[in-house]
Amino acid sequence: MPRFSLVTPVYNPPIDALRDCIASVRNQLFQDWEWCITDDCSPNPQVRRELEKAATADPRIRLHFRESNGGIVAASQDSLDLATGEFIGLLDHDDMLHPEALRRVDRRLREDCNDEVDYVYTDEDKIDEHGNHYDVFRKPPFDPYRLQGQNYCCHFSVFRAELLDLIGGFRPGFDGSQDYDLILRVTEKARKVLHLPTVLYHWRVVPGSAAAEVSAKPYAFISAQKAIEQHLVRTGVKASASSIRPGFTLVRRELTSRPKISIVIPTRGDLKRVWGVTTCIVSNAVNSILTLSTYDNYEVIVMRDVPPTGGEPASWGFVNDPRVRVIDYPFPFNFADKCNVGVLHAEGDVIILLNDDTQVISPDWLESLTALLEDDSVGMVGPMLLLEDGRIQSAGHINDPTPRHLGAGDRGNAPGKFGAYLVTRCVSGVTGACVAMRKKTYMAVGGMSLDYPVSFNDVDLGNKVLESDLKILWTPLARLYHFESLTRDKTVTQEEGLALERRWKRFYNNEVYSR
Amino acid sequence: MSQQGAPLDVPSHLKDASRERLLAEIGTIQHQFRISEVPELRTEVARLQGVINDLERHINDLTTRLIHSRDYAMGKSAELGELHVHVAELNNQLEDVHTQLKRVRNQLKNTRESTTWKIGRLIMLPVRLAKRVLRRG
Repeated sequence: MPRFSLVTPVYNPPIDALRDCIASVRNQLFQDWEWCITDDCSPNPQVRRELEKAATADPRIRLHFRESNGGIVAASQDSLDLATGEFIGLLDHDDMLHPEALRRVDRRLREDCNDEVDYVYTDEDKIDEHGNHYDVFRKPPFDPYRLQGQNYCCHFSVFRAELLDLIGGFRPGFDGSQDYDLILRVTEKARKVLHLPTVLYHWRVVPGSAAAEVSAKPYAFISAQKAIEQHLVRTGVKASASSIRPGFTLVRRELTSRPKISIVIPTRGDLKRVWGVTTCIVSNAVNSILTLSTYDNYEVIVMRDVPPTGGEPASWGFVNDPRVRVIDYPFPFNFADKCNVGVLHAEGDVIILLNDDTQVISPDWLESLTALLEDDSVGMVGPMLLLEDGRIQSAGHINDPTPRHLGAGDRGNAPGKFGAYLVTRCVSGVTGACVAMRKKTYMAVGGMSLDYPVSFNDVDLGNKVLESDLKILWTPLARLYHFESLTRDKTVTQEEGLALERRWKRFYNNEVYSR
Repeated sequence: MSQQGAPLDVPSHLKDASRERLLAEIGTIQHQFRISEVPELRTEVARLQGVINDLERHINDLTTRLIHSRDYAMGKSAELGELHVHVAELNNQLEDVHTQLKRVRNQLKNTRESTTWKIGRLIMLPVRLAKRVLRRG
């Protein structure tokens, strides 16, 4: 039994690309492989000649010629039926493998002492007609949330053959997204999924290919949505899936319970120019919550300084609203402590820390954030935050080289690198301007550290959540304005910077989710 | 419309009592509570409310101290993690220095074993001997 079986359905590829593909497999530094190729009645007779030439030159290449054109699913399954290897790798007929591909995957599999890895995927790039490499996709570690939004694992995917047998291989009816459907079903059953952070696959861009133009195969996106919908049913996730653009599906989880949410807003009651008008920003934030939110089981806890340093509560229109409580904070300024005190007063099981210079955009923001917290493996969730001018203020945190906002200054409707702003996904952190957590998680990690009275308290909180083996999710489903100026003076004190380094310097320049 | 609830547990001596008797009984009970027990109960309620408030404050203090302690513990654990990384870096550096040292020693050994070195030593022998004689003198 060979270590690897490569599986390739072939249908009329450009001959040069096919030759390159064949050469890339034959040039593998790891030798223990077989290549199962099914030609799906390619009209160009030269395809058959090239394949037969390759098979004659290398007995590890096994060919099957279909008598009628059956489509990509049938051809892929025919190739899979030929395979006898321990692991199965998927390779498209015009793409190329890096010479080290199989060797690196083999090495990674051998490092797994318990032999539990059922699926490995690698980074990939694109290669144009002239052989130039571009669009390097450096992927995150396995992220089931992101996989529901896009097939980010894609190439190069290597599966344990036993598992493919168990799940029944490719399924008819998913043409164009048969590999996505396969990956989703594999990850549901896999004991361990590994990411190998090296570019080992080169995706050929030829006119009309999916790599060149994501809308080249519209039927593929209908199949993708179907694959996701079925995946959600199989995994028992109550959610709706809708295709937002080719290659991307928006998965909106339903809130299955009705927990009380406590929104904690620390404020000095400052006035600021918002939408061209001098406004009491906390009034603006609270009013947007009260008037827009569709969820009804929540309370707003406004933590105000005593003695007042900003506007007087009497001028706050919301003070008589039964959903709002104003709590005095009579101590010297410490944002972190103010949040902690607010959380102690909270009656809800879910806490949302919210800056006073924010404004709700999505009416279902509370449902969107809280629904993700119903998964016990999730510790923290953050929304898309936009500046007043509609550009992005934060789409999560990134440790590159030190913690900073991802997407700051990008267009509000920009898709982000490889669609990072289009899908719910794991991130290294989210900004404390709006963050949702279960109260018990907040308490378990010790809340916000008093060592960071002004800055980095959110970064520290996020790192503590990650250290507790919980995920941090960022979602584009909840959108809010955050009226923070991109050019504002940074009020980071040296002590806070040093305190953060003392705890978390190993995370600096070590970004894994948004590489 | 009256609601049906659990049947009342009527004292035996009032089971067949007349309406007047019952009203008198109620009056007596009301009088007793109004006169004697209500103020006491009010005091007791106020005292208990005070105890509850104190306990709530105490719980809040303890909870605050608990989250501070948890943060302290997680922070120290994180600092320990940093120190582990630092120790690992130092170990790597030490290993590099050892490797370098080994390489230099090998180079030195090879140099001393080389023909060039040996010829050089031979050529310099008279000079070394002369130096030794001069030092003795």
